[in-house]
Amino acid sequence: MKLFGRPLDYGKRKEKIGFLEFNLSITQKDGYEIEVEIENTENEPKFIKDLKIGEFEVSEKLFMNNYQSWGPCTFVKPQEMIKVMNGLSVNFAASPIPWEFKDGIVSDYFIADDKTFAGFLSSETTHPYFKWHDGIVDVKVYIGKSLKPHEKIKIEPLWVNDFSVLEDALELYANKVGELNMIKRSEPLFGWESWYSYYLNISQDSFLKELEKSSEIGMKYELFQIDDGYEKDVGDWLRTNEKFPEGLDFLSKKIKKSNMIPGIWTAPFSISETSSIFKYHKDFLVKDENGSPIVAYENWNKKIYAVDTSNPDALFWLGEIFSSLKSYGYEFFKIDFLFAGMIPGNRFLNVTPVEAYRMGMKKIADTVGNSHILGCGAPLIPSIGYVNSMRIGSDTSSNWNGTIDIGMPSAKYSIRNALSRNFMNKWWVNDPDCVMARSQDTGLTSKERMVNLYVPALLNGQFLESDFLDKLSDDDLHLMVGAFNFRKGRSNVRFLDGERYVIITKNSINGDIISFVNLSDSDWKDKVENYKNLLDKKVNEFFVLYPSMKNVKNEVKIDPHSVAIVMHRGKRNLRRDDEKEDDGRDIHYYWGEEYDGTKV
Amino acid sequence: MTEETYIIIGVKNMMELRYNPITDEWIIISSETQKRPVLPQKEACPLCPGILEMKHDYDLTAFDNRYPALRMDPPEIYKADSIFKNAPSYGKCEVIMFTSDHNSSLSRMPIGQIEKLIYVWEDRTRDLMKHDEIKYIFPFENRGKEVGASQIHPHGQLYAFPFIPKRIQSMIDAIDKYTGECAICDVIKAEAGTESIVYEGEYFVALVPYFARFPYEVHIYPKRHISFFMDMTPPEKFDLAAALKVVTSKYDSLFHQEFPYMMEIFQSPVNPTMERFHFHIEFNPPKRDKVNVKWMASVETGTWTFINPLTPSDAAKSLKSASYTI
Ligand SMILES: [Zn+2]
Ligand SMILES: [Zn+2]
Repeated sequence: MKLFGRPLDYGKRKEKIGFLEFNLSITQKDGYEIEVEIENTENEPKFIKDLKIGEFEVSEKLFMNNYQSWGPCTFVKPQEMIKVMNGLSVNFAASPIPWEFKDGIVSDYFIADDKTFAGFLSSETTHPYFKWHDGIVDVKVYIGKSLKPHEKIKIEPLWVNDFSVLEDALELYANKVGELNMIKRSEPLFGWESWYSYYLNISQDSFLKELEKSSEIGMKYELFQIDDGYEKDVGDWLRTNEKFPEGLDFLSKKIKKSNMIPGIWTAPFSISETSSIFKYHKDFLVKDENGSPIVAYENWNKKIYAVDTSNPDALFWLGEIFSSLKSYGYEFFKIDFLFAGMIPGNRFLNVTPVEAYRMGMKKIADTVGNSHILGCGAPLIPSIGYVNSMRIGSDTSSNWNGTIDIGMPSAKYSIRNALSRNFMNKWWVNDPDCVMARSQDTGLTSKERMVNLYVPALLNGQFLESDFLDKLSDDDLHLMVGAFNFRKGRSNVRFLDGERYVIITKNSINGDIISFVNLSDSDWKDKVENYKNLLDKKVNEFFVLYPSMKNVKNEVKIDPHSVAIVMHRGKRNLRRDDEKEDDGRDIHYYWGEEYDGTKV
Repeated sequence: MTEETYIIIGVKNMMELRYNPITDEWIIISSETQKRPVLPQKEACPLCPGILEMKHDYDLTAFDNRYPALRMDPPEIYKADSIFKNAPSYGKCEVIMFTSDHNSSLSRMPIGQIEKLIYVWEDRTRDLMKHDEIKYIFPFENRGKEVGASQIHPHGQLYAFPFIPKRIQSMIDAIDKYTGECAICDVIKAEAGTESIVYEGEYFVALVPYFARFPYEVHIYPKRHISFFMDMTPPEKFDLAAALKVVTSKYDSLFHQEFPYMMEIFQSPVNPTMERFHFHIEFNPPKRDKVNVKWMASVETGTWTFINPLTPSDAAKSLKSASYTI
């Protein structure tokens, strides 16, 4: 890598390009850690857009990442990708800097080729990214505000290192980002939500019917969440439409009565062109140079504008929404389409889009206090510390949809991201999107259903189910309950390529597990022994294939679109503590391996 | 637990073994003083962590029954000076907690937990057989009020007898009488690949036996001729856990209810052990259909002859198609 045309070298130095002065400090921390401070040396304010601070030559295949929840994180051949992208219009859902795609491909926050990893450790002020073009990667940041005369701004620290195993580099990167940012620690939740059965057709009656059914089928959901479809309009969150005559207060009380956490979906940084908030508060919107509100995206057949979260009145309004929802009893907030809060544009305050976004996120987080926030459609790194859990892939689907990898609903790519972004579980609880237990009304084969249900369980992130509960057969429920027993473990994921992954799970409810996930369209043969050392298990220990429960003789064949789950079947060591009851009777406590001490 | 928390509700105290010379069997008389502990809350489960029996959190436990029919320090007996024979109630009655999860069950427990339970059964057997006077160790589970279980918290029991119980003796007699090597080994061979098989793993098979006594009776046999939990390799224990899970999970989905059963685990006698004894587990469920119970009535109790109202192959068919979780 070269910074301002010179190879990386430890120490401090200055560079001047035009009216900007760059103060560089490069230190050794498992490689290079680079800090850059920028000063406007002019005597007048200057609006700064994107800046290039360095570049490096890369190999043909890159590991790239999109900035937000839904976008892909995978291996890419940019030469081929640029042809695919040609002709596609890039919107803000795909990038906060869409103009960069005119002559290149962007990887946000981090990138790796076959030997070097480079990643920014935060995104508190600027949006840091890497732009590939013509076989070279530019190291860039987007600032998006004006600097006063002689004002200095620090851009995000950059970490660069060579690696031998990419997964290890990602792990180290996740730790470094975790150390630098304040992380919210939370436990993954098991819940039901309305989206993948009802979509926008959800009504009060159907929601209550599902609530009732949930207790009948004996699934112990911790969370029951209403998704999109209740609101009067996007932006008018506290007003329900005619399908919800008794309002949001009524629903949360019903959920609470069933001993579950009431959850609700909103898109707090989005305002539709038909909403009443749009009608009365154009001052809440992010605008272009001419003062016209910018369309952040289109959905629900409407133009959607972005909330200017640097505007104190808009922030107050946001706070009112969430304090009201909280006062109704909601304790789980799925906040969606968050990227709208970070589009470039003119705002009330002279802040960067990232700073504005974080002001909005802070407001929501402060308002809901210790309630759970699930971020979705969200810029990833700027959300750290504000969300308890984070969607890390595209919407799932009851169809495999395995061809186009651009963040559209897909059973395949939502799981692919859950695997490739598993390392992010150090920043929040990963949400791989919903699982579906249904065998009816699905385009998924039984093997694909196993992938949809068991991979999220094995990765032990959020486990949110979305089905018509009264349409589930016994077999469907049993399949889901079976998946449940693979949760609670610690997993790390090995990448064979962009379509084949191995999950190494320690201490799941069902013990230690090696799983082979084949998202590709062809057969895959592998050997358990290639991964045994990752579990510290002896070679002579036995393994069994779930759910056939047949012994695996080392070689595993994994069908296309399937997961092969190999359970450890070695000796268990129980600890035994002998005690006495008060009346002198003997009592022996037996503890599983998760406890240490005397072995039986 | 302090003394004040007990309410003395009985005073009679009789605890001994009595021999029936007419049928050649031992009876356990147990009318020990009933000290009922008072629960901290009326509705609390005495088997949950920190309520009554377990002072703190637990994974699995085995503890002496509060009202044992047999004990290691039995009261002295008055030797009858007549044709009657009696003996001290020597032995052990233990309660075995499968999990601290109150709402679980064998059918819902993860395989790993059932596997641990198997290690506990093994450890209890190994522990208790050290006492020379113990002749038979019998773990079992009564599930459901239909078979007298008063607590839903998943648990079983274990009796360590100072004599060979009558039905075990008839198994031993049958072994002596059998002309082949081993009846269970032969049954496994004969039933291989047939419709009787409910579940087959690598090392264990679960089937509705040709000679089932109860409507939905299921037996689990190890394919290898072994006599004790101690003889099982770790993979075999894992496989048995899977078989137990499959069978109980199928029971629950059969009539969409928590299916009541008696689960009896038959190991070889101890002191001395008997290699020809083939380890096996019997599930004896009392239900004949969704609502009706098949009672142990005069014919069953008086003559030990069972009338099975359901053709075993039909039961096997229903159980085979019943949905299950692993
Ligand atoms: Zn309990
Ligand atoms: Zn045998």
